[in-house]
Amino acid sequence: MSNSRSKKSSRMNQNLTLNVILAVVLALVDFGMMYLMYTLTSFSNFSKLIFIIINVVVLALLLGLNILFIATIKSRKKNLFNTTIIITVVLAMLSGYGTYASFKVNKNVNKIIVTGDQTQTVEAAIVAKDGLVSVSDLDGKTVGVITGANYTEIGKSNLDAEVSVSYVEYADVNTLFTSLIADEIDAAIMPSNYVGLFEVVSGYEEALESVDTVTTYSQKVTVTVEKSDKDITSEPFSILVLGVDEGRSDANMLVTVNPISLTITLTSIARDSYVPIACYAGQASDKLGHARVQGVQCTIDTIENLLDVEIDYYFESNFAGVVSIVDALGGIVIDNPYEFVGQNSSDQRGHYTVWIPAGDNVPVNGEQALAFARERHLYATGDFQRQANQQHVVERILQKAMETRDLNKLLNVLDAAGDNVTTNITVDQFISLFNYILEKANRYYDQDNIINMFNIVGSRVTGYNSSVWSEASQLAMSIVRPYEGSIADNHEAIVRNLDLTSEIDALPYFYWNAKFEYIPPTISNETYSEQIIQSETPQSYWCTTTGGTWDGSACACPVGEFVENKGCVQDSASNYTDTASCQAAGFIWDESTNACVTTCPAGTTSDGKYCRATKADPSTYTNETDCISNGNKWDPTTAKCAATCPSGTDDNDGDGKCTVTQKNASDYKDSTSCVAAGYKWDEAKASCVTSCPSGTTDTNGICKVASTTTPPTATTKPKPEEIKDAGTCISSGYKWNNVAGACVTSCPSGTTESSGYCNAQKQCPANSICDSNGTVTGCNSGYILQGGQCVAFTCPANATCDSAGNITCNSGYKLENGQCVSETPTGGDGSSTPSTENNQPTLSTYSQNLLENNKLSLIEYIFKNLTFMNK
Amino acid sequence: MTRQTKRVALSPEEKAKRRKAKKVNNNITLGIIILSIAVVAFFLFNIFTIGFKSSAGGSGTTLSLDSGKKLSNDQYTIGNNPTDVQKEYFNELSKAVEANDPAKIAEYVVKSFVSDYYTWTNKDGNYEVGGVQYIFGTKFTAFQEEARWTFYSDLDLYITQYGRENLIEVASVETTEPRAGATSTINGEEYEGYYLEANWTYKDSSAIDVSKFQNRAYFVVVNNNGRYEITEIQPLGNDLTGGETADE
Repeated sequence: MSNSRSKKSSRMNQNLTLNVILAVVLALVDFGMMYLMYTLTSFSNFSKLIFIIINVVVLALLLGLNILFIATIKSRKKNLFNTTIIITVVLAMLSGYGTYASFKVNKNVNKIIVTGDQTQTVEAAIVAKDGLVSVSDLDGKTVGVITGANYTEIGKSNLDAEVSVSYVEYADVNTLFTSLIADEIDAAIMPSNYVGLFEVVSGYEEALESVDTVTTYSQKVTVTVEKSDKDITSEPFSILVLGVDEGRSDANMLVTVNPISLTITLTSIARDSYVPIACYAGQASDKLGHARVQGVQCTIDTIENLLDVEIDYYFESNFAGVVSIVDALGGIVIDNPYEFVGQNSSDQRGHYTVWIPAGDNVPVNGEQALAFARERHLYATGDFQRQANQQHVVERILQKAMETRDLNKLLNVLDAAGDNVTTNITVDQFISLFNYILEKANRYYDQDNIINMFNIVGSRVTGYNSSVWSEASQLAMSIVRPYEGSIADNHEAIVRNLDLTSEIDALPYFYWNAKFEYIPPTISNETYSEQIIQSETPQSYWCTTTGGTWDGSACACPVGEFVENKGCVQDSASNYTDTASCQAAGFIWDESTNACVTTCPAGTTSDGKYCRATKADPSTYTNETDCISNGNKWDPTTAKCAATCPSGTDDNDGDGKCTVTQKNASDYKDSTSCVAAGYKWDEAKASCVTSCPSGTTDTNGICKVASTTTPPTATTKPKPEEIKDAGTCISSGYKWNNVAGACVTSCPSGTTESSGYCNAQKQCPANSICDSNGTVTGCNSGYILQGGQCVAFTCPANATCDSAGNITCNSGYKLENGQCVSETPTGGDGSSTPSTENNQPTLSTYSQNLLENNKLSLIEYIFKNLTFMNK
Repeated sequence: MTRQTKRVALSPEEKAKRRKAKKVNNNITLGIIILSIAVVAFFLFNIFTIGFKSSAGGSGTTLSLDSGKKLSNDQYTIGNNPTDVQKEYFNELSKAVEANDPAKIAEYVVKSFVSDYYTWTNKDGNYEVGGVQYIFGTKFTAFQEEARWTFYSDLDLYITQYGRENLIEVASVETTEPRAGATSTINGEEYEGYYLEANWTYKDSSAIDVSKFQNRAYFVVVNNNGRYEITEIQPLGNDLTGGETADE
């Protein structure tokens, strides 16, 4: 009796303990779910209805669980208790994971999105030349400072507390640095990342080595970055996208978005653009990239002034951010014309760093994408091509992000962006824009290529290379001076995309032909006819800093280099325009483009001297003619094409066809196989020989003993169809048709004879005039030879044109956009359109003409587009 | 004999423990009830917050798609938010497709294209170029791009400055009899089809001068693997001169 009582008592205690534990867990689940729902509320703009439904469902679950628990306590039934535990555990896990994910998302979002004032750490470096190693050494010295810079004030206040110095003010960092090098000042207060500013400037390496940081002062400052409250789903807006490295903005791209037309403009500005910096005293000029040292607002203000447009938002990333985001998306695809090995995110180059293959839609990871966006040395246009590559990478990242439906992947992108990206667009704005775009996407025709609903227009502010010379320090800083015309053209395009009150000037008619490829207009020219500001940098400087020897009047460059832009540069393939000199200089001649190159482009293979079209896989050829004419071997037995003949066979006749490998004559033991192998069967000796011995006559491959009684008959020449081998065929005075593999009396049409062989004639391309070998030597009327092909060309009115398509306008006319226009302006465009009948629904004269000609010339078609561009 | 339940007498300690356990359970129950009330209150507040939350930066609108299934036949599907005129021509096109009458198909392909491409009252934005489903298969992307740079390039300005409802809308289309014998060579392949001219009218607008817009064109419609598609559009009359815009 006492045992059952104590058991009962013990069970009661256990139940009580479990109840308490379960109650605690239940409470935690309730609070966890409430916290999760609360944090998710900030994203409820994705879909209010869905979020409300989620809240209702979760409420019902929690209430149900609570009621179940109460019922469990009251009924004390084990089954009910177990059910409650199970449901509690499941909800606890959900709550736990949801809270973790939500916490992570919010943490990253808070790191990325910066609105209002921001606290940043600003560091000021006291930089001096060798000999001054401590702050106390600066006592009584002269220190240069940048007027108005936040690090200046930090440096001054700390320095003044320790020593007594005099200050000299400068407007820009470069002048400050060169003055220090020239010993005009003893020390300078510079941003702590000053090395990063100047290490990329050619010729500054030695100067940097002559200075050192004496000490660094840091302080937290409050920075205000202006932002806009625009409704970005109804008003066009602009975002400044910056790629930052070592404190510089290496990539500067102004993006504008029109939410009605869905046109996005990308305008890149070279980091070396020499422009007035908004936060410098007197807006002194410096490289654009240096403005970022003073804070992102300085870069924003500088570009606003340069392009005369308002910038609403900014988006900034460092190199690691680009790598991480691309990797989080699972990589992107790019179009790369030249394979190369680039530098990785740690600025390392050389073998085993980053290899980017050539081709279209090449899949790349984060490091490869970054290397592609940073590469400039490979291209003749250097930094300008790099800007185009950066736009390409941005476009492909956007495309990949839009195609991604994996929530986990998007969370990873957010994670990747967390430490590396900042922006002042709010979460609500992002979500609203996202929802808005989704609604548009539902209406778009091509659901398989949603990215095409955006009209992405890339452009850049072009300029010319120049330099800023410091006579005192004998240093030249290379810069790019933007063309005023390019600035104006880009401004116009940006304003058009942002201002919905712009003047309407689209042509109210449309014409189109599926035969012609449309070429969108470009925003900015590569060059403009403007007055060039000459650089004061002496030629001797460029010569000596690029490895040459200056003899007082000319620069002598090392072997393999030559003088360009006053300095010594590596010889470039683009300097050679003919095969011989190109190859003699050690480059390769590309037959596909008729140009001298360093590496062969995609689709071609190098043999050291030439780039030639890469041969297609032989197995793709399904007929003998194509197979052999492309340098492969054809196996008649299997009717297959291969690079080499299969085992046991060989191209014995050199005709490209695989025949059974010749054995020695003595290997054949019967007349049939002996003759089939092309040997002779000595009937008398019953043996296979290479040729009939004397005293015998070759009768269809059998060597018969000549009869003594009957006079030998004259051997008749075999008919061509009786001859099965090329050698006998040709020696018999016939021709061997390599295409058909037969002996013929003469080469058939479609083949050309060469040493008794009939080879497939190279097909003469359309509209071309070819020689007997099929090589293009000229073009039909209305076509010109370009790059080895004949392309359509119509000489414009009022002009004469040569066979190369060069246009010479008649007297009184000038060449403009491919047309000769009168030098004195006239009204109208001079086009003569025949009048048409308005009443009867019959084809008009105009249509009749079109019916007969049924084509629009290429130049007319291009002119139509250029006319639009010049609206 | 009835069964009698034996009640075991509990000791004072056990009674005390039971009382304590009951008290604890009651407290737990009360706690859960209070917690439930708090949960309900919180979720009601959360739902209220979501429901009345303003969508910052989200007033941009998109034309709603028509409810229900779009008109379609074996070959073509009508565009978004079709006008009555578009529906009329598309129905005739469907009849022609069913009857397998190539000339009629060509005629109504052109009429359907014109009534879609040259109507802006049902277009949400520049990205929604009308009539692309009637364009030669592989070229529709290029066609769209060209349209967005030319005829459709200022649609955002028209919508903003004049209102979508006041823009051009095709009222009727007439065509000449389709004339066989047309050919188009595209990517080295030749396609055969029809030539025909079309002229059309627009509904009046109080905001813009519709007469300034193109109202005539010559079309080539070819047979692309059994589907009739447009390969050429050439304006007629004085459309090639001037370059005037169409706003008042």
